[in-house]
Amino acid sequence: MSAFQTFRFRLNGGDAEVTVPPTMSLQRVLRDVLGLTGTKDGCREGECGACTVLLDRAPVDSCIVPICQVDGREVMTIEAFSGRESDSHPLVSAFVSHGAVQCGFCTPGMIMSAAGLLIDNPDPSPSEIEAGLAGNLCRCTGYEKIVSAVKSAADSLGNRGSRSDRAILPAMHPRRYTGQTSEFEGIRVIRPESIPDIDALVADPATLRFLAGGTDLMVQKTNRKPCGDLWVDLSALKDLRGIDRVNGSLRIGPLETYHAIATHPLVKQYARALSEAAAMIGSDHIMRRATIGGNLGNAAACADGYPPLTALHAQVRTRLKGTTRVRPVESIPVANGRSSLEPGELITDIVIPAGDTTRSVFHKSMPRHAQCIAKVSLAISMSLIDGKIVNPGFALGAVGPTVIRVPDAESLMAGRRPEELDRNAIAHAAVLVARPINDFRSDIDYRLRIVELETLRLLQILSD
Amino acid sequence: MEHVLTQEKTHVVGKPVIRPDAVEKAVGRSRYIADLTRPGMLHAVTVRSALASMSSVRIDPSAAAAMPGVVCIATAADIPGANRVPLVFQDQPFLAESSVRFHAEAVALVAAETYLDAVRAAEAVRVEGVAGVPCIDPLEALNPSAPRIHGEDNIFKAYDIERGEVDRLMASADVRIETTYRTPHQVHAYLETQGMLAECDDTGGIRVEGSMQCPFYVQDAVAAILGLPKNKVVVVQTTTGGGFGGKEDVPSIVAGHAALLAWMTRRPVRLIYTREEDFRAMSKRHPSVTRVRIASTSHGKLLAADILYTLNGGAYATLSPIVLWRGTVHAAGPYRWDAVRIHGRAVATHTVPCGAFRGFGQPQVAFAIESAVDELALKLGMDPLELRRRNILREGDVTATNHRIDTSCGMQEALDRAAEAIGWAERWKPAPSVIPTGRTSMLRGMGVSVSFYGVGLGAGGKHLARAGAYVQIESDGSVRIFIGNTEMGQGARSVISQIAAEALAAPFEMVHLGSTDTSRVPDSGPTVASRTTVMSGNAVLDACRKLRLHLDRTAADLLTCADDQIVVSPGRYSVRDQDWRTIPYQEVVAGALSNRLPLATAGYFVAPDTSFGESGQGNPYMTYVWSANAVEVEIDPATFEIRVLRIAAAHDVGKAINPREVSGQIQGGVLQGLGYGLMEEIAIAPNGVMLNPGFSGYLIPTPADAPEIIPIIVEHPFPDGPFGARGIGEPPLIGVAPAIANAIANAFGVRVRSLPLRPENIYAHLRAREGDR
Repeated sequence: MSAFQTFRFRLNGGDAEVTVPPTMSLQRVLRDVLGLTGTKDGCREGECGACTVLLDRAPVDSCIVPICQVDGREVMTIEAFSGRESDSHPLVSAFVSHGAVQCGFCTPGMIMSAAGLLIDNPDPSPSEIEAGLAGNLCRCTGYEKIVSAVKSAADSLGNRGSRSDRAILPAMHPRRYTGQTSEFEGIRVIRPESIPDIDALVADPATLRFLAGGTDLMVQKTNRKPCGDLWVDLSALKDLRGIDRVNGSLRIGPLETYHAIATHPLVKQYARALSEAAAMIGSDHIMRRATIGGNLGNAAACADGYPPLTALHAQVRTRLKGTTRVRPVESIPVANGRSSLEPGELITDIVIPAGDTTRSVFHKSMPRHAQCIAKVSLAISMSLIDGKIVNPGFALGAVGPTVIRVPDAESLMAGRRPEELDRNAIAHAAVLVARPINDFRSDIDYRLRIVELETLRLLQILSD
Repeated sequence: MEHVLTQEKTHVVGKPVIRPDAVEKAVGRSRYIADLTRPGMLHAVTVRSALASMSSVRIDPSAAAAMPGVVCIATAADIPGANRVPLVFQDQPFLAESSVRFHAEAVALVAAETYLDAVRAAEAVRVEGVAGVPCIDPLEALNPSAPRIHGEDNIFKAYDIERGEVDRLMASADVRIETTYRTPHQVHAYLETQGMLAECDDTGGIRVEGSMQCPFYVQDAVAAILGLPKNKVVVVQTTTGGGFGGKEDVPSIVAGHAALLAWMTRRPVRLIYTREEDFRAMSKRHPSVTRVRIASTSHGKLLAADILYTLNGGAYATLSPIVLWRGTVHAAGPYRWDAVRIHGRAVATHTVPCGAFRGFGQPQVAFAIESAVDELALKLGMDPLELRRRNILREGDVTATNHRIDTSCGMQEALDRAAEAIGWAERWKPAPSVIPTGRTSMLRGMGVSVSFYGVGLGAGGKHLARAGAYVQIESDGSVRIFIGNTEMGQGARSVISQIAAEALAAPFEMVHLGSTDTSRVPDSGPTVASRTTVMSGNAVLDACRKLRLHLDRTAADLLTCADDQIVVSPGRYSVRDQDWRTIPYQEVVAGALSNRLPLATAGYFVAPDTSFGESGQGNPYMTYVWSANAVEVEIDPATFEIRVLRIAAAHDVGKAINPREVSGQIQGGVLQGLGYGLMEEIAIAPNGVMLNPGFSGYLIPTPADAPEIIPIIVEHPFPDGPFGARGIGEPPLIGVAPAIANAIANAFGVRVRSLPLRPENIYAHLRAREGDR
């Protein structure tokens, strides 16, 4: 466990072995250590998608994937599409013949995202393509030629009757990749095999950070923010995964990604608001990496996970040195970016009451149509007994330093029939407790207006 | 050899050929500057000021110099040449000396063995000084009590245009509009950040490669900072990941820094910007405040315009004088006015220096004048399309500067075709007279704008209005070309190759445009102002014409006919009207070479004369691109969220050399214009610090934000352009934001006079109106 470690992974059909700092991004390993410069570097914070690669056949932003989490896995880069035969892969020829390439800096990432999209969805509609590529910025083309190129590639792959992964991905030319670097990052990483291992490890919790999906921690590291000197990589802990329903409760492991949560049928059925929030958390690339536990642990004011979990009365189970604690989800954040979790305290389970009559809805007000931070978010949940509301939940996000539960709104809902609610009074109660600020994303007046309008709209949806 | 220019039937020009660089870029083989390394290469990082205004600056690099891996730390004192970036005024230092004028200004440089070594050392360089109170607002900077940033009055430059009796017409007109419009900073957001790699060569000179639009500006800068003669400075452009104006002037700074470190260490040095420092320190589109007064008859004949146009230039002049000039010249729009008065001024503030950005001062004034004309239409009770139809410039009319449009003008056709594509005649309705805030369903509206764009540098940059080229035919017939302008994504490589292929009758696949290299061609001015097709295209044509003399003579000998009987088609030279007497292009080349005729030559083009005289009168540009945008939008009357449904964008480009690339320029420019209209805005705190320096805070459109964009190519040939072409790079951005604002006013009855048209701004506007009652 030194400043440099050796990692082995599959790369474009061959074997790679690198000796590098464990926290180095996959992007830098590819570009600076292995010389594979087709993967571009546009922002280093998972916003532009120029560094998209496939990790176990799913598109990710390689700039925010630490190499320690690539060990033993499969990576595919744009170089797989480069070669005498691969140059004429349908995706490449479609981009070229549609005029989808201008400056070309986004193009390798676009092609990798498109490959990932077609593996999941071999026959996407134009709007599915737009959504699938929403994590890839292009400043030259206006996107139309890119979207039509992907559509045309999908059609020609389909016409060849070959819609398996193998057909969508190019032919491989396996080679051996080795490399090392003297670049010093100074952060150690350990990867415990079981949760009790962590109890023993927490020696100096002040400088320890848990590494889940890394979508936030890697950005902090790149931006030279304090990010600890020991990362505990949780990825081997199978107990932190899983989505199940047991005894009327939905249990979600904190290492589950938002992609898994957004697409899981149990979450859709019993925690609709969470499913909707998960689907809007960011680009497909971010959803593939960002975990619900990490989202809660970071405790950002705008964290999309909090309003639905709070409205759904979720409980969080944590563990610190062998001691288990259970508390309501909304007691985790105490300020923007600060949580009540003690150093070394690990979220182990998120438990959501999931009755058969639970309904919930979510809204996120966004400054553009994809991949962005909320101006306002809100979630409402309710269960029904004999047509009357029991256990209502109402929570606001991004309009205060933490998620805000609105007990007055809940009181106004309890015991009523959904169609008889005094919606204006409930919206008024929400507006009264919201504490928004003026910033570059929005302003106080507008945020309050959205709280009111969206409360009315969500209540309407719940009563229908 | 006139037929090369005027032939009616073209074979390669006008065809949507595949651009030659597409495959290499798509599969990641193209090498951008950050993809290049050299043995022994050092990594450089810039030390930046933490304050926006500081005097008595002292830099202490001692702690940093002792850190692991550090090889060199440079400050202003280490510069062997001139510490001034050679632009219009030469007021900006490469590295700050005793004072700092904007947050993140460069104060020192670090070169180290690894990137992180350099980052850590840069953090350890101590910068101290006396903090000043920053002035970030241009109107405040005009106040006599404001801190002095530039000269006596903080005005970098002012221009005036005056023609006719403005005051008299204004006073006697039936209808008048007077309003003020504001626009924010816009960030280029090219996907590739700035970067350069510098290394000393083995002849005592220096070679700099990197991402840039203007290699000759970079050459000037490197020669200046090192005090070298220009023949010892070689600048080569690498594959460039977008520019949009953002790689016009500021790469000079990046290159100067990399060159200084390479010169001091005698090792190769690579300097690549992070996205954050690119946001904080590189040029931006100028924020503006524009007061517009216009007047018309009650029948909608435009009479007079009186415009006061103020730009926030930022901390140093850089390109502000010429950005201001272009904006001033175009401020009154493509209209017939009986009288015009325009006063433009660029003001210094303690903010990031603003520079070139696609449109170059025009998007700001287009938003103002096109909004104002729409407001006038509303007041007149006229269809805004009809008001424009009655007043747009046509052949024979004069502009604000009294420039008579005597060459072709596609303004009317562009306007009619954009309106038709959007279904204006069938579906346009007047704006609601009462603001329908109570409505629950989405509201739709339509808006239109017109604009014109002077191609090239014009009278504002007349001394640079020339270009060189070098064309060489190899013995196998393949063609090698060098030009002084650059490919930055816009498609110059395709367009120039098509022009040469057409002129030489060489197969398109045999033409290759090399990287732009200052040692290969004479200074051709910058790659800006949508000038490359006309300037470099004509320079290449000039060279090809000279080569054709030899090729035609050879072909005539081989075919036993007179030289002037030779006609060409792709890959073939033939006798006019006797197409059985024909010979392949390659055989003509072989014949010419065996006759020892030179098949390599330079070409040169000097732009038609331009002028800008007293009261701003004259012919400021050689020609104009004529443009119209028609937009349909949808707005939620409760949340004020906007969705642009479709944009029809019509541009008279003269001749589309490559229609697919022209439509790509239109679609891309329109989406940048949509971002400018709806979401893009830099927030700067009172202390001068940018609050959203990255893609998570500064939002540009994603694929999910793109509306249907309908590119419409109008072709009224420009006689002095290659095959009639004018250019296209910048015009597509200019008129989009005002067309969207006009469509929102049409849908919702609310006129928002500042960009971006965020829901928050619309709500604030509505509340202010209620407050007025």
